[in-house]
Amino acid sequence: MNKSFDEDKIYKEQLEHNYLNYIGHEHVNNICDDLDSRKDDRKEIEVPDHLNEWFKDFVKMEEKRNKIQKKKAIHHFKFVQKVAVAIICLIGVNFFLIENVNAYRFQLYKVVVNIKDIFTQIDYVKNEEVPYISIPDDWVVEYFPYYIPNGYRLIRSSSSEKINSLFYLNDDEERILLKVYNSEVTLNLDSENGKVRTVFINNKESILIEKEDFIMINWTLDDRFFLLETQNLSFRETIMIAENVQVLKEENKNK
Amino acid sequence: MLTFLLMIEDEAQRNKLEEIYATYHKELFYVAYQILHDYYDAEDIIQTAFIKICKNLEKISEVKCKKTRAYLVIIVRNLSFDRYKEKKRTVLTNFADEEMDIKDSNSSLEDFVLNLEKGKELANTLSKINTSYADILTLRYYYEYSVIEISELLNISVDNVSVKLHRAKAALKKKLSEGGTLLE
Repeated sequence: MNKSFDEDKIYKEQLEHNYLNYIGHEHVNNICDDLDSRKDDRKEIEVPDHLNEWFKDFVKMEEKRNKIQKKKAIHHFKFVQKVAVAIICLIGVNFFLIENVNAYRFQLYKVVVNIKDIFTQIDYVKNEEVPYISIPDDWVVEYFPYYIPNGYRLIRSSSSEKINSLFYLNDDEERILLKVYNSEVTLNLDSENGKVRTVFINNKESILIEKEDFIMINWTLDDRFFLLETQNLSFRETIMIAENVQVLKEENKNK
Repeated sequence: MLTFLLMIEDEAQRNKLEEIYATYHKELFYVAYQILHDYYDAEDIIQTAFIKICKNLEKISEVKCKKTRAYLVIIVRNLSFDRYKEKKRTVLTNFADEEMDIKDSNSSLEDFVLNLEKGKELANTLSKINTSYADILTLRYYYEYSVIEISELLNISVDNVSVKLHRAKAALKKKLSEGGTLLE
């Protein structure tokens, strides 16, 4: 019922519109007929010459205005083109650097990781899932890894005059080993058949060796040498562990 | 390429404007002079009209046709009416407008569509009641201009356009309801 009523209304409106359009058309015819009927009267009226002069000036002025607008449009278009080329170059250079320069790739990676850290730090983590916060009683070094991936537990720790170590394992028997050396030691890392590259740990150049399913990172902090070895752990996770080896917090110190 | 396209467009527009002026400027000057009876005012109105025409050039598809001719006349004579009102400092009202109490009648336009042959007469009558009613109605329904476009073209407020459109339709309905007895 309502649909039919609406349709009627629409048809009536269309009809009215068309009829008014027809009236308009007749009005146009009337105007032209009226003008034609007064053709002779028109001859008596002279159009001032300066109207023609004004029109010529007006056309010139319009042309000038259009030229200015056109110039602006072209200038704008060229500017947009330049920006597009600059963006493409920037992307190209970035791609090249990421592909070929380790230090650049790592710095970029760090930026991404930092951003991710900022935006993921609201994650809720249960206390029992971070057993690595408990410091072993015999741990005498002033540094400690404040990040160990989930699923790993501390198996043993050892401390001596020259070397201190922490050993973690997960359920798949995959290990994380952190060794902290005094500055007097000389380290010889087994890099045979491994891929060696430079990475940055807390803005300090470090050596990273990837060999089979192990990743090793060696870096220095203050007067200490650090060696981190992970098994079947991602590059990102390994870097995060290394980055989070920090000075012991006051509340974690053994009394 | 962009420059070339812009140049072609510019030249076509300029040629169209020049053709319009060459074809119609005398006629338009005559229309303005008939209302204002003053050369300077008529000249000024033609200048104002061409500035407006220049802004609406893309809406003119063909120069030498009745549609364009009437369109230009409508602009010029409405601008002239405005100037006349300003000069006289009185509100120009058509006596027929005052005499006619324009109210919506119960009849609707679709009842009279069969009287198509009376369209010309009806348009003529509406023009006699108030020329600007017929002009605005024509701009709205024949030239398909929006109310805002009409207000910009004729230098009148949007409200004024709406009121005139409403009155034009009411006047037409009233004439139709009188059974086709049209004003002579």
